[in-house]
Amino acid sequence: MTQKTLALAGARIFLIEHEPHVAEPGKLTNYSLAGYTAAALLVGQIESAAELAVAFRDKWIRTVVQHWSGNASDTKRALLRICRRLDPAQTLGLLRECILYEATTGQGAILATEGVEEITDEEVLAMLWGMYYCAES
Amino acid sequence: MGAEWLPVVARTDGWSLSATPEIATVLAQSPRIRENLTATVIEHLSRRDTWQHSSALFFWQGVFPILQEDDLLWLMDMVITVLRNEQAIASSLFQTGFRWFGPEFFASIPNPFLAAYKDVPKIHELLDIHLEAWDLDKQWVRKIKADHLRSTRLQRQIQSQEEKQIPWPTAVQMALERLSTDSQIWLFVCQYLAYDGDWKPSPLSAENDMPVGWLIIGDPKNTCLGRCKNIPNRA
Repeated sequence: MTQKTLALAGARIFLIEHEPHVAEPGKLTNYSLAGYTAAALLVGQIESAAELAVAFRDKWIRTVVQHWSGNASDTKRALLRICRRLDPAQTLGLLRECILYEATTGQGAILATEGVEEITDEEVLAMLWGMYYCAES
Repeated sequence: MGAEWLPVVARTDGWSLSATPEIATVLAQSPRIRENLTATVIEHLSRRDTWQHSSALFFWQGVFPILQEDDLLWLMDMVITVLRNEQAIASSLFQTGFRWFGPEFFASIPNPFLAAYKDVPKIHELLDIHLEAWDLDKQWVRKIKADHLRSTRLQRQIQSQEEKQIPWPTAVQMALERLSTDSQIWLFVCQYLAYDGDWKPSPLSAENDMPVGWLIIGDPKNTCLGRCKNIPNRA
């Protein structure tokens, strides 16, 4: 068994057995950081493994939405698309919350909105940007 | 202060510094140049009327990727004595230090700095989140917290030295073996994967969020040949 296989197996169990301990925007923990890394490594397997998909949907969507990833990496975009497919209402609700938080108290809405264009409806995106401009002005 | 960098900063506004491999490579090996460059950038930005969103964004994406932990601590000292808009800058530094180096970053912050800035809302919030068990607002726990942080720092320094005496591939292999029976070990695997194979910390790849160690494990030349019975335990 290769090291990568061992790591991916451990990452999968971590996502299933643990949780990020984050319930508010702007928060992060060592668990949420480790969980995001696990999700990033497993990005191609999340939806095809039922138990993992359920755990990801129930516990880790907030972690993905809130994760700061510099310039909206391909991995974060892919994870956001998975979040949207698994639970669109939760994902868009958290995006809305995250953008509002970043626009008002965080580092700026532009960081929070990076990469979300691909997963939001036109109507939702217009709403998010409207919120952004209101908050910034 | 870093006058030779002013033309570079003025011309590029710094955006491309960390993203240009040739520059990033030189900076990674040159703490003095990093200090001069960063000081110049901060001075350049602080001349603006206010510390605005664009400045913070610039900091996040243009400057911070080139910094290392010692640079941040050095920056904090400088921020106290030199700059305007120091609270906003300090807040950015705090957040960056935490996001990159974890809660132990707080333990390495000089006490006068912590005392000066703990009332800044963003910093206070971070402290609340990650040191809430030690409740900074309560006088009676301050000594306990200080003692704890001191002992933790010492313990981690010792552990870190012990860990780093083990070759990185060996430490990773041992952690991966424990991972099969204890999923919490993933927290440590993630920490190890943040190193480049020789206990040299590296930030995530900006393109794909993959820790640099992930690209290395499994490489035959990094395979663990020896086995140790235990990896160091952490508090």
